[in-house]
Amino acid sequence: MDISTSEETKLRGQLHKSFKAVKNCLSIWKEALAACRQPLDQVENLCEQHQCCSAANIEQSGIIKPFPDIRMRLLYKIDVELEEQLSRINVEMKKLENCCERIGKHCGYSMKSYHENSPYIPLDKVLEQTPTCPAISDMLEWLQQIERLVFQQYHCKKYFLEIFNPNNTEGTENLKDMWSSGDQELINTVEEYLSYTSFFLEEKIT
Amino acid sequence: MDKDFLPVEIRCSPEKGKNMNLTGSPRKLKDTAADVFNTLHRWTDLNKDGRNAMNEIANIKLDIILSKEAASEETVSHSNSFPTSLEPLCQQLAEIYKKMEKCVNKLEGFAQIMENLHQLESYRNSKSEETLSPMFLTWHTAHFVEATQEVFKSYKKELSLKKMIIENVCHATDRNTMMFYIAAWIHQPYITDNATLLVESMLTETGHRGC
Repeated sequence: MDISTSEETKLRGQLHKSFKAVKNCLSIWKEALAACRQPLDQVENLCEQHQCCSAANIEQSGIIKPFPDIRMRLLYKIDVELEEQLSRINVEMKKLENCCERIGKHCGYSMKSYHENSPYIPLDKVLEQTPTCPAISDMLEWLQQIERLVFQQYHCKKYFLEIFNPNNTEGTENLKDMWSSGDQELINTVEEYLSYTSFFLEEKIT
Repeated sequence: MDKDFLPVEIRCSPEKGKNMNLTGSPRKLKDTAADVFNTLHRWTDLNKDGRNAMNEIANIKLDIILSKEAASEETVSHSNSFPTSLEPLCQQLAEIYKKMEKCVNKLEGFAQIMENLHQLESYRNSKSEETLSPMFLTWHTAHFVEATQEVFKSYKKELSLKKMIIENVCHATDRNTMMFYIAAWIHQPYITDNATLLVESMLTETGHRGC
């Protein structure tokens, strides 16, 4: 066997593994996002309750005289419920983090494999594409784009959770929109790249 | 883990011995613990029913409040603040309140039963000059009295809050107050985590919950 062919096979094998991992991560990512929907609705609702309860001018009427500590108790209960919902979201965030790390690692492995084997693979082979198999250069570029998008999405979500404050009206009103902005773009992009590599992924690379 | 290597021996409630039928005070205490749990379960169901009625009231009232905010105060007459659709919902809440009151009365009765059992056991022990031993796992009868009293007090206070909410919810004039009443109904601020924990502990002690 020609050296360049075996090196190319190694690199293609790594890319094959990486795109398989991306495919697997995409389904986990989608499931995690779907699982976040309900707790996010709850968080939005609880924040609204929290803000209204903090702002309600109930002392004026005098009807709550027998319950002097009611506001404090109520806010405590709402906060406990909020914590519960946020911890449900954090469980899903852990899955997103795992996906992010896994894709990052695979992108790294593929780039490393490319750098190790590129001296032995002619440039025309790197750029060559067939109707069923994309070019190595394209696949590497897609992997990097996927890694960047996933990293960006995960860290945006993490940031929203870190700065989350139930008293911040602006932040909580748009929490769901801010949370899900960019999700569809990511899914569309990854699905597009996976469709380009679908025949390649069905190949057996030895 | 091998049982021999456990640092402490975890005993099961005596009730766990299936061949043994409880009689006397332990039987009564165990049944009362179950009754407390069932009563609280009933309360939770009633609270859910009340929550639905409260949500409907809130929808009606918020529509009025928002339209009032949009239009000038003069153009909306006072009678519009209390549409007839509120009446059946208020009646429903009043009925729920009555049922909740019954639950609290039952809890008071259970607390009294526990107190009587405690006095009986104390009397028996004073006769036999023995120290008071736990009735099941670790709790003495006094603990059961304290627990049921604590639960009863929590629910009694919560009931008085429910009464205040029912009396005032339809008179709320702004969104924040309306939301405050609804949140207070849903989250039940006077039913503490401690009360819930005490009921669970009581069930574990008496063998209703697995050890």
